[in-house]
Amino acid sequence: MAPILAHVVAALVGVTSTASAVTFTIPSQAHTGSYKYAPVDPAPVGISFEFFAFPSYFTNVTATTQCLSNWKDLTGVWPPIRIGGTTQDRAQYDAKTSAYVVYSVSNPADAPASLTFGSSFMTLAGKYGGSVVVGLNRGKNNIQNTIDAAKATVNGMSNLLAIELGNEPECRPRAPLLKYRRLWDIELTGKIDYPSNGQPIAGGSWSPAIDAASQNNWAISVGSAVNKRDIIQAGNSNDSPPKWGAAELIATQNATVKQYIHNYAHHNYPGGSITSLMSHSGISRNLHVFDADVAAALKEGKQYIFGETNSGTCSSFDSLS
Amino acid sequence: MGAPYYGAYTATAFLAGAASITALDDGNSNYAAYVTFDSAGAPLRALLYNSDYYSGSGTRSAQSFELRGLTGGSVRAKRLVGDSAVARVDQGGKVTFGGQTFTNGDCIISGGETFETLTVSGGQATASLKASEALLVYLK
Repeated sequence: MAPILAHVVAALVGVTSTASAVTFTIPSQAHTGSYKYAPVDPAPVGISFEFFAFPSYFTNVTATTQCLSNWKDLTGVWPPIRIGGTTQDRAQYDAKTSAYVVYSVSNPADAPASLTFGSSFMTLAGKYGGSVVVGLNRGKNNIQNTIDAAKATVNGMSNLLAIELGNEPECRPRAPLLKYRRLWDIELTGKIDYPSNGQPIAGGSWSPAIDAASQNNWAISVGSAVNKRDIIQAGNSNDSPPKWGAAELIATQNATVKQYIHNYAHHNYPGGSITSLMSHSGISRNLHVFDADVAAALKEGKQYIFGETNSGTCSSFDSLS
Repeated sequence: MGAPYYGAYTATAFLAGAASITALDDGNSNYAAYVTFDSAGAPLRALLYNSDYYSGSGTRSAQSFELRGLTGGSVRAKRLVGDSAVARVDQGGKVTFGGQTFTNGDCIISGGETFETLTVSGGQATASLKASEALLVYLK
């Protein structure tokens, strides 16, 4: 009688309890038992800022520094930030401008189709209290301009962690998602990045193998031009491994390339509904997609990170995040 | 501030100062348990997560999480909870972590920091997590 009554009462107050508890036993010491353990970075969670919007985030949006500072108060370390994204491959370095960024758009919420940035961009980034990854342009295939930007970056930033050479070289908008746009989404003008009639560097054929050769050549050229080893954040693909990712890239790299690589990065936007995105089993399944890439990077003695991760992108949904 | 910031803040609070981490569940259900350890290898914090989706209407289910291997007589915890899985603070929805919010516009933490206390008996404690809720348990 009593259990039935309890169940009825529970239903009346609008809460139902699942029948049995899930039970977990906490190991008394790390690295014991059959669990898999991983090291934790002093500042394991960071934020990526879209390239063209970075200066405004740090000079016009009060919340930016406070939001980052809240995490610094937890860990004792400013969170790492990355500056890059679609507009890094639309940006040209202009040593003569005193502005952070120069561009024009018809709607203030639009991302620019092209922009220039000056050395004050890097000076601003260099003021940040934590480490910074800066994404530079490979899409426009103007390596000299990127080398000039890389030199200004290395010289202007004592907090520089690494430089990316190109963002999401394989990303293309998927037609059904073109209904939505956010501040930093690809302009809905039919332009797509890298492949086909997108970026000049992908003007001919494009494939993971061609991209890998390009990444490797650029890593050597830019790394040697700035005279720094362990300086490039490589990869930065969005499409899933094994077709695109650290393992396929590492397989193409010789020792000369590897000396310039600081770490490998991938972008992870699972997409789907909120129900599926928040599901623990869904998240676990999604993360295991990267197992081989993580192992490949660690085997090289390099870190593996998600350079961007959220719900959905490459033209995402306003209702997700 | 957007709901993802609350989740990222909670994750950062869980990971802060930790030297290592493991997952106690096998990733095959909607109920997660992670534990971090300090540099001496002692348990630091546990993060429990009920990822059942709650739309904001109808009954909100709950799941009991039983933790074993605890020491001491009690542990403190902070709860991440919202009106629903889709609560948006910038649209008037409510999300709190340990009873606190991040003020829209300036991201400053506001509200009193609220800890719950879980009684530990025979090394065990039980916590009830509603659908779309997480609990950060402080083990030392």
